[in-house]
Amino acid sequence: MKSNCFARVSSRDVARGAQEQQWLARTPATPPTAESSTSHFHGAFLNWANRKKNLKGRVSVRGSVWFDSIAIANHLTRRIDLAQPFNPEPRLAMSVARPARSLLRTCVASARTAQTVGCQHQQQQQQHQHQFHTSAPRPSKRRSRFRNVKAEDLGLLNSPEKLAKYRQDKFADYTKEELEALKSKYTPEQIEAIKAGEEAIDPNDLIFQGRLRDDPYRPQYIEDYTVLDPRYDVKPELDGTPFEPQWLNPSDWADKYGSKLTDLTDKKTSEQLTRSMVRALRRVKESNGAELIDLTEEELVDLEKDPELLKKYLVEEDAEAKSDDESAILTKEQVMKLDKAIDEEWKKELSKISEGPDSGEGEPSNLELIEDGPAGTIRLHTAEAVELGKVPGVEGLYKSAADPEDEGQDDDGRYQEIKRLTGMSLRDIQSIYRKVLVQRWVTNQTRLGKVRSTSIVAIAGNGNGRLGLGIAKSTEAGLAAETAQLLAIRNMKPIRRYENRTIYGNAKAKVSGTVVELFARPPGFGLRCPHRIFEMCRASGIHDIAARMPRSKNPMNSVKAAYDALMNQVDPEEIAIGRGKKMVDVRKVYYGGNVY
Amino acid sequence: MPSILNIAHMCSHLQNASKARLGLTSIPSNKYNLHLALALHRSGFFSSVYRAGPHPPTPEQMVAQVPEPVTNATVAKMRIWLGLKYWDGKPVLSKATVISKPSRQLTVDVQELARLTRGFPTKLKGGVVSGLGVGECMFVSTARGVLEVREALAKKVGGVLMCRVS
Repeated sequence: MKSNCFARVSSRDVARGAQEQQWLARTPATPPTAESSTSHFHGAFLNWANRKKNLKGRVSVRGSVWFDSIAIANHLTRRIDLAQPFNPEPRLAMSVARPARSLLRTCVASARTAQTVGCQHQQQQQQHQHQFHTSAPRPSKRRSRFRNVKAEDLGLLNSPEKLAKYRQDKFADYTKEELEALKSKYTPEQIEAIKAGEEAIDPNDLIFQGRLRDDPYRPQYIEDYTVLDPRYDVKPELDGTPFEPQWLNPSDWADKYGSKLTDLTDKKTSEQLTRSMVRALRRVKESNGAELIDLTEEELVDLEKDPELLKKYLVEEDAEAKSDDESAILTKEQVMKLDKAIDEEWKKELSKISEGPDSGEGEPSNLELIEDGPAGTIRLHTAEAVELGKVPGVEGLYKSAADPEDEGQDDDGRYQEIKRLTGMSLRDIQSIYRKVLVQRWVTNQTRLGKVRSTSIVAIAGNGNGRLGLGIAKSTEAGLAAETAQLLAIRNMKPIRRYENRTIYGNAKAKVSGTVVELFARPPGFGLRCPHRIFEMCRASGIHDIAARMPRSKNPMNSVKAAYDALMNQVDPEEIAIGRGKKMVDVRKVYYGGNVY
Repeated sequence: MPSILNIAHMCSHLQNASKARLGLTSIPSNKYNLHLALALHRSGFFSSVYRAGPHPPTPEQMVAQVPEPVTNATVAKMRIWLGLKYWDGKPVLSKATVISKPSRQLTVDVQELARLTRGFPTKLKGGVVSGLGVGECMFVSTARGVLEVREALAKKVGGVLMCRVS
């Protein structure tokens, strides 16, 4: 039995599919005559014809034909049973739970005489399709195109030799060559595990019960069982050795306690000293002795974290010194210099230690913290629950967003996202002119009551041809305003300006019932327009404009319509290209272009 | 004087055709339509103007063959086929509205034409007409044919205001 047995099935079954098709041709599957057919049978016949057509189309494609042909055979036998002389009464009596529609149909059919059945076949067909509602009828229950093939149909249940052959075909044991190949890839332990796995599953189970899962709940992953999943896997037993409690008398206990504490202190002190020595070395290396100290930067960092590592490095250094001491000889001057530097740093470190426990050195080591912690060995046999650990998904999300470039202006990180999106500096973003133009109080009626929130329309502009519109809604008014303003900054787009002061021609836009008409005006005209449009013009750097809102003056729609109008100005360049004509701005032609 | 109603029909048909993004459309073949179509073609709104029968002519035919002459037998079937232009996904001719109506003919003299061309709204005998906007064209039916307002001004002729197109 091999794990890739399913991949082989389709390739082998092509030949078998052809066999089955021959078998199908031999079965007396003549289509029934029209006289004997009821509407049901007629349906069956159609089905048969369709399926046969499908079969023909698919023979050359894949082995899947095989499955289909068996399904057809089943289908036919079932339908032929139904093709007995039509007798409505027993069927009516049998099916009490039949829907009203089909009950009615059967009654109508029973009202006919036997002679008229043949000639009214067409009508019956129509009645069969008649619906009591106008929508299209639901298709019958969708079935998979490929039916399951039962072991019984394959003849595996009755003949053991067939079963053996099938088993050998599909789930053959490993050959010697394959085992050799496995040995080259896997360790002996892994091979043992593979063998155990093979033995654990009986191939007969796979033959009789195995199926390829196609249900929506099948696992979507490939599992290599390297990680314990608490949903499926049994929690392994921890093999901690229970210890005998020692009931000491007070003096023994005091002695033991004292010695334990002394050991701890010794260990801690030596570790402290090692750590400070490493720090001193590091500092010396950073300052001047880069080529004189063998340890690399990473090694020093590791050492500081875990002083135990020092042993390893010391041994290595000794060995090295023995092997090539000729090459690694330093000059006396260098050695003196290095010693002096290290001494100085060392003294500094020592003085730091002597300052007191609050300098960070008196803290317990990591190892002690772990041992003492909830997941430590001390708690192995306690009733306390183990520590859950951190959820990996939120790791690093609670970082402080402070960016040194912001000079402390954005410590709560409100501007970080927009900084990332726009690529602008905080100073530039904050210098953008922003204004809330529309504020609405809206409610969402839920079954729990009204949820009131504030809807804000804000604009942002750089005062030099860029304007953005932001709409946000929140139960917090302040949050909505801020979000709307940031959105407006993000949405800033360039708008066309004629001579950097007014618009090109007249623009008009309509949003719902609000129509905004904007008119270009000569220099010095000013902004004679409704106040929201005034704000928009100010933000975008338009200085001469007239506007009119002949219809509805809805605040929100007027802002939207004004924005649309500003965005959809005519472009003389485009018009000139479209018409193939040269267009001239006469203001730039008369008086030598000196119009100001 | 031909009926201005033909022009009204032509304007609305052109608007509909450009909204439907048609490449080639046809209007009834008559002199008034033809002259306006040629004036629009001069202003760059059409790629082609061709007279043909009820079936659209091929591009090769429009380039290579002279339109067949109109005879008494064919006059009723003739259409003017107009090639519409699009640029940057938008129609070059997107709006065409008639100015004069059969019930209200608006005539302009040269002075009024000059005001209109400079973009000022002008009071005519029948009512006020707004001036030209950016990229707008107005067509006048004059004694020297159908002209664009700028052409009419250059030739110093007035006439009946027909339509404005943009």
